[in-house]
Order: sequence, then C-alpha cells, then structure tokens
Amino acid sequence: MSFTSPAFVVFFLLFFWLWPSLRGRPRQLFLLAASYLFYASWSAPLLLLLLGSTLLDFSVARAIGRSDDPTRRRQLLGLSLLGNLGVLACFKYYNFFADSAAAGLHALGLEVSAPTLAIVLPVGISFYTFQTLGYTIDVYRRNLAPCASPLDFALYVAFFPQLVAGPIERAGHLLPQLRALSSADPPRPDLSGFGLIALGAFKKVVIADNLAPIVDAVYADPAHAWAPALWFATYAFAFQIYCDFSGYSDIAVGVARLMGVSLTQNFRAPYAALGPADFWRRWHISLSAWLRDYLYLPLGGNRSGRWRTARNLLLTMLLGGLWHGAAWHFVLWGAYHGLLLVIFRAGFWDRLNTRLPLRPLVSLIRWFVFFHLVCLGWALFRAPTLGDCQVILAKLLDPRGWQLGAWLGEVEASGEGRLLALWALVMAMLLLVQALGRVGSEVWVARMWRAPPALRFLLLVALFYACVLLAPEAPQPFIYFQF
Amino acid sequence: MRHLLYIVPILLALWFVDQCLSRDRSVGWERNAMRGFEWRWTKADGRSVLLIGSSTAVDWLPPEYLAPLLGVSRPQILDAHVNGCHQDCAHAIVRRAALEARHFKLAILGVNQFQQCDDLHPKRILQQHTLLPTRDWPRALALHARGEQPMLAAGRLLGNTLSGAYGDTAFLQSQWRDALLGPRDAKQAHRWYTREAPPKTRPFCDYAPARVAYKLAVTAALLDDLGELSDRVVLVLLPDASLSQLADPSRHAAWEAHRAAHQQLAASRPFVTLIDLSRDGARLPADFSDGFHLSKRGISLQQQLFARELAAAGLR
Repeated sequence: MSFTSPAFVVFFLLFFWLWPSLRGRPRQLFLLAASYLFYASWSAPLLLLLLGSTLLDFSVARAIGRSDDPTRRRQLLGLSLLGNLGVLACFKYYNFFADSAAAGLHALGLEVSAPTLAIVLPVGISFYTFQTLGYTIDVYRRNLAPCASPLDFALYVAFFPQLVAGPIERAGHLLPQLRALSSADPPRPDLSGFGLIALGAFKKVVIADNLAPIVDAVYADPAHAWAPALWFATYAFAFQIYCDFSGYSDIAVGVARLMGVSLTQNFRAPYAALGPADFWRRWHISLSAWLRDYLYLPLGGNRSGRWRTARNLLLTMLLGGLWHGAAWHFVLWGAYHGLLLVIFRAGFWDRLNTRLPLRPLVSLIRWFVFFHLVCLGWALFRAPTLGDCQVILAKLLDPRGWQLGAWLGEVEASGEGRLLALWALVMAMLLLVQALGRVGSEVWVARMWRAPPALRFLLLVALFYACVLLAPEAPQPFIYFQF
Repeated sequence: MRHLLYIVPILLALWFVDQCLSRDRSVGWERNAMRGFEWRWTKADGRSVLLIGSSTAVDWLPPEYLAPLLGVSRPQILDAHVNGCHQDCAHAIVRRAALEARHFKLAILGVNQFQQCDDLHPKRILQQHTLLPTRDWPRALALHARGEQPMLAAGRLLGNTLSGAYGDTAFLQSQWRDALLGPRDAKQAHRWYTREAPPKTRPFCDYAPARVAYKLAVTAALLDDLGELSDRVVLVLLPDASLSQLADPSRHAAWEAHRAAHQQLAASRPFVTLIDLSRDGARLPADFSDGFHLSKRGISLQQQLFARELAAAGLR
C-alpha cells in the first residue's frame, strides 16, 4: 500500500474518519492496529519480523535500564546488535556476501557454489532496524530512560507514516509525542499536513514517476546509449530520486502532522549544497545524523588526527552505501561520497571564497561543480551492476565520445526533442528553486499556509488534480522501499 | 472531523474540474467509447444474440458474417462490445442487462489470455464504474477481494467515482502530449537514447494463480449471470501472437493453464459451450496487426475455424 496508491487513499479516509472520535489508550491501540495493517498490506508473514524486533529491543532496553553492571549492559547491547544486525545480515545481505565470496574464490581459481536463500527483502527493514537499534544504544548510553509501556514502544517502531521509508526517528523525539496521544489533552492536528501531503504527492507522482521512464530507458542498456543521453538521464535521475524520496518524506511528515505528531525534517534543498558535508546535512538528514551519532562519532569522529578522521569518514560512508542496498555499486557510491568528504575536508574548497574577490561567482562555480560531482555519484547509484559503472563513467567523463551534434540530430529524428526540452526546463527550474531558496518543503508549505484560505485551497486542489491528471499510467514504486 | 472539511471540498473540486474537462464529448475518448455502446444498447431491445467483450472479441465477427452463420437476421444481433472491455466491464454490462430484465437466445463472450493479468488499468476501472448498476457495487467489491490487491481496486473504484477523472488520465495526457509536443512515432522514439532499437515487448500473462484468481472469479460470475439471461452461452478463447512462441516453456505453460481453467469453467456449467480458437487458427505474427487484433489473413482463418467449431457444437 504505497502512499500514492488509491488503496492508501481509502486507508487514509477510513483512518482519519475514526481517529478524531478516539481518545486515550483506544486511540493508541487503533493507531497500532492501523500501522500493522499498513505493514501487512505488503506481507503479513513479515510482520512477525517487525514484532520480533519490537520485542527484542523493548526487553533488552528494559534489562539494560535495570542493570548497573557494565559488563552485563555491554552483553545486552551486544545481544540487541546481534539480533538487529543479524536479521539485516540474513534477510538483506546474506545472498550478497555469499555470491561475492563465491566470485572472489572463483577469481582465485577455486570453484565454490555458495548456497543462497530464496527470501524476500522485508520492506522497510533497514529503517526500522536502525530506529530500534538507535533506541537501545541511547538507553545503553543513559541518554534515554527505557520505555515502560510496550504499547508506546510498539507504536514507536511501527508508526505507519514513517515505518517503511523513514525519516529514521530518534526515540527521544518521537516516543514522548506518541505517549501524548493517549493523554487527556492530546496534541492538536496540524492541518498544514495537507499541504505537505499534496506537495509530496506532486513531487512523487508528477515529477519522479514521469522522469522514471526516461532514466530507465537509458540505464537499461548504458553500453549502447548516447553519452549526452546518459548525462541527461543522470540529471533526470538526480531529480527522480530527490522527488521520489523527499516526496515520500513530505507525505509521511504531513500524515503525522494530521495526528499532531511532528517528524524530523529529512531533506533541505540538497542540490543547493556547496560541498559534501553541506550535502549530507541536507540529504536524508535522519540517516546521515544516525550514521554520525552511532557510527562516525563512536569510531572517533574527527578527534584523532587527519588520517583517523579520513578512515572514519570512509568507513561510515562505505557502510552508509551498503545500507542502501546489497550490491557493490552502492558500496562504490558510499566510498565515492566518503572520498569526497575526505578530499573536501582538506579545506581548499572552503578557502576559495575568502581568497578570491568575486565571491558570488566563486560560490556559483562551487555549487555548479559540486552538483555535477553529486550527479556522478548518482550514476554509480543507478548503474544496474558494478560492471556498468565503468562503462557509464567512461562515457560521462570522456568528452571525445560525447558527439553532441550527432546526438541532437538523433533527438530531432526521434520526435522526442520537445519532450526532453520540457523536462530540461522543469529540472532547471527545480534546481533554481533549490539553489536560490535553500529551504525544504516544510518552509514552502508554511509559506503556502500563510496565504489567504481561498488561495491555499486552490493550490491544494491544483496540486491534487495535477497528481490525478499527470500521473503516468504505470505507477512506480518508491525507490527507497527497496532499502 | 476537521480533516473532512478539507477532504470533501477537495474531492468535490476534483469532480467539478473533471466535469469541465472530460464530459464535453471532445475530450475523454475512453468515456466516448462507452457512449457508442450506450447508443447501441438503448436502441436495441428484443434482440436474440448478444456479442460481448472487447474489440478483439468482436472485430472479426461482423453481423453480415455472423447472421447467416447463426441463421438469424442482422438486426437480431446486439453488438455490446466496448473497446478494452475486459471481464469486469463485461460483467458490469451483464449486471445491467439483468437489471433491465433482458433476454437472449445466445450470448457470445470472447476472452483473451493477456486480459487475465490486467485488472488494474485505469480504463478498466472507469468502464466498470460507469457501466455497473449501483446496487451491484458490493458484488464487484466482493469479486475484487479475490484479486491480488483488493484495496487498490476498491480505492480506484472509489477514486474514479469521486473524482471522475481517473480513467481518463492516460488519454488526456496523450492528447496534451500530442498537442504540446507533437505526435509520437513509436518506431523512432528510441533514437534519442540508444543507437540500437530495443527489442519489442508485448504484454504477456504469466498465468500465476494469484494474478489470474480475480479474472477467473469474474469470468465465473459473468458466465453464471449470462446463464440467467441467455438460453445458451458461447465462451470463445481468442488467440494472440504469443501462440507463435510456444517453444518458450513459460508461454506454453501459460496457454495450457489458460485453456484448462476455461475448460473447467465451461464443464461445470451445462449451458456454456467452449470454443477454443487458440489451437488451429491464427497464430503467426502475420495473422495479427498488433499482436492481439487480427489482420485480414487472421480474420479469414479465425472465421473459418469459428464456423467449423460452431457446427461441431451443434449451434449452427
């Protein structure tokens, strides 16, 4: 039941029809039942995994909270790590590692057939595993008291707006809000959530889903694609993945707001970034903050010298890449961003502004160059296989093979020239809005919500109608659902 | 309830915009295709032969060919097909006929294999929602519950009814695309991205039990309801170009499953005669104009086979 499917519209209407009439514990129970139903619409058996993860971290955190023995606390944390990462390793990474090991041995001349598991990747497993793991680590660090109510905790793990693709919420932020839902004075719904839902749906259905066929066509066979077409598809993918994922996050935040719950902001105009550190403060903020707090800082962060900092950055981003998917091209993408972070940390990039007099022009050049570096990263991310990465990069980076004139002739002959020009214009406008606005959807919706009610209503109708009318015939699943 | 203050006016506004856009008889081809059916349906009372299904079920069965074959006059044949009308749409028409207490001596229903896996196309939902009498909605929803994604189907049915626009989106998009960007040449379109034309792909039903469960349930309900309306029902299994690829085990298995499922449906209903045109008739790519609709050669082959099968079944 994807957020942009008609099934979700039915679910949404039924949910919010009943929601206002409930108070206290029944309200929380209703939310939990709806969340489990939402998850079961993908796969009912895999709901057991979600329940298992909930039970494990609830019990372990309670036991950690009760114990003062450091060894026992460490053992309990180890149990949680083993349980959560074990599930991830089994369901998400086992086949990847088994195949990779077999391929590695094959390269050494040893023929080994690795047994593989015929299992389905549970939707949202990477998100809820990180969320529950973060909670247990917070309790272990004594940053958070263990949750006393199993119902509150089950809601924290399964809260349907952010269950399958984030934002990855911190327990300290979300748990008190969920607890408050059953209070005598529950939080009031924030109706600006409708604005976020409309904007998120527009981004997903109108932009991302219509860009998808352009990207898919080129990346289906990069070896035979025209190099400029590959550039065009790479730009298109940059906006497809942004609109797809940030659209999902907007809808999640919007739906939660209608219940009076505030979720973390996940995107803040990422393509306005001037460097990699800035980019990761704007892209998938909840994941990069998680990786910073639970991986990068425990590894030593930037406090142990230049080389250790570089190692920590690389390791964090490698694992961040692997978090996205069990494939080498995701690892390569993570390594690429790790390298960017290491290189840009040297400081030359930031010193450019102060050493040259033409500051706006230099900022423009920095932004332009970094946007293209991000796009090269997306090419690695979108490549069908690791082998294709080499072909794609060779085509993108070798100007001798671009044959721009010949390609434009082919575009003209294909009859698709005006369509591509239209999308190029749309992408340029989106880029401009991000580069100049430098703010996320929440700010745009807050501005929209300050408009007179009639105008606000018309904007909502226009956004919803555009979704109905401009949706492609074949709906596309959210890209981040596969992670 | 404050949420509804937003939702209801938004849905009403969507409905209003749709009225302006797609009810003017110039936009909304999918709706207008049904208007042709409406016209033929209301004009034709007291007919004895009912033709039902999509264009592939009837475009090779013109009245001038069928009437002498069945020994009836041409005006006795009611062509109740709608373009793209699959089983659920045909079922909606049959429910409507039941509501109007119509009766026929013979009903001919043609089904394709690829239709078995296609139940969520916006056009199908538009047709079902437009043609189905309101009292039969629970029946339709119960049938959708047999499908892979009952909530999705129910949502589309609801969304289409409330906004009115859902079924026309693909058409409006293609119209706007033509108006803004010029008509698309499918044979040349690949040239902007690749030096080599990608292989053509056609819809193919893998006949996985979960995917066809809904369509078989609808076909069963459709046959039962047709049995109430008509003395005799002819269920025709229509061929398509995938019959030329039976060397491929997955295609072969899909066709065998398709035939077996329909043989079972017919065997359990004595008033149904199954005519399988997928064995000895059109099967080569040259027999089809687009993989599903027949070429001239295909029509000739299919008509000959149909006549033979009809005679063998004692209906001629």
